[in-house]
Amino acid sequence: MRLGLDPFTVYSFIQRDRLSPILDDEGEYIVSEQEVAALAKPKKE
Amino acid sequence: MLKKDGQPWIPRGPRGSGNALVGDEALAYRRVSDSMQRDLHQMEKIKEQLNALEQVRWERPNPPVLETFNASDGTTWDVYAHLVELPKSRVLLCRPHNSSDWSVIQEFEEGCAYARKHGRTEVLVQGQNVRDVVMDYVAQANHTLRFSERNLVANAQKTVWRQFPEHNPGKIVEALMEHCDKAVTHNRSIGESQSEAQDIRRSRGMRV
Repeated sequence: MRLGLDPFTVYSFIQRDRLSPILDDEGEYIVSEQEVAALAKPKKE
Repeated sequence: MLKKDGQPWIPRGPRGSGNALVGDEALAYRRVSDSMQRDLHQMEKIKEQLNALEQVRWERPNPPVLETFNASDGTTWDVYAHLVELPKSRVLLCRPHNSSDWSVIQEFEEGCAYARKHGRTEVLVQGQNVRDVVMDYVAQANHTLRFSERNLVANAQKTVWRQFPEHNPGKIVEALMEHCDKAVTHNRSIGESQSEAQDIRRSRGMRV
C-alpha cells in the first residue's frame, strides 16, 4: 500500500467504503495494487 | 518476566485470580504480544486522545481561532481545536470562515499519494451542534479502533496456532485478546464490557 496514509486512516476509509479491503497472507487488511494505482494517479486537468 | 516455582509466570485477572500462563505458555504469550506491541501502542495513543475529547466542555462562547487554512475548493477554514494527531495526518475541529456550521476535518500530509488525488483535506463529520459533531467523530473513531484491534487479534491468533500449537494456544489467544481489549476499551459498565467481550469472541471464531 503506497497511499501515504497511516493504518488507522486506511481502516477508517475501509469502514466508510472509501477503500475496498482484501486480506494478505497474514490476515492483515490491505488495499489492492490496482486501487492504490487508481487513487494515486494525479487528476487530469 | 515473573517466575513462580522457577517457571516463567504471567498472572491474569484481578489480583491474579485468573488462569495464569505458566512456562512455555508464558514464553509464547510474551513473544507474540511483543510482536503486536508497536501496533497496539499506536492504538492506545489514539484511544487516549479520544478519551480526552469526551472530557472537554465544547459549548464555549466565543472560542478562539487557532489557525486558518484554505482548502483546494477555495473555502477558508478556521481551526478551533486539534482533535487527534495521527502518524501521517491530523484531525481538526473547524468552521468555514463566517459560518456557524461545525466540521471535523482530516488533513493529510502534503504530497502523499492520496492527498494528490483527493486534496489535502477531507470533511469527516458536519453539523450545527459542536458537541454532537465531535462526539459523532469520537464514535466513528472508536468503531475504527475496534475494527483495527480485531484484525490485530486475528493475526495474533494465526501466529499462535501456527508457531505454538502444542503450548495451549487457545489459552494464549484468550490472554492476548484480554490484553488488546484493555487497550481500546473504556468508560463502559462491567456488564457491557463482558457482553461485548463475548460478542467479540463469537465474531473472532470466524476470523476477520
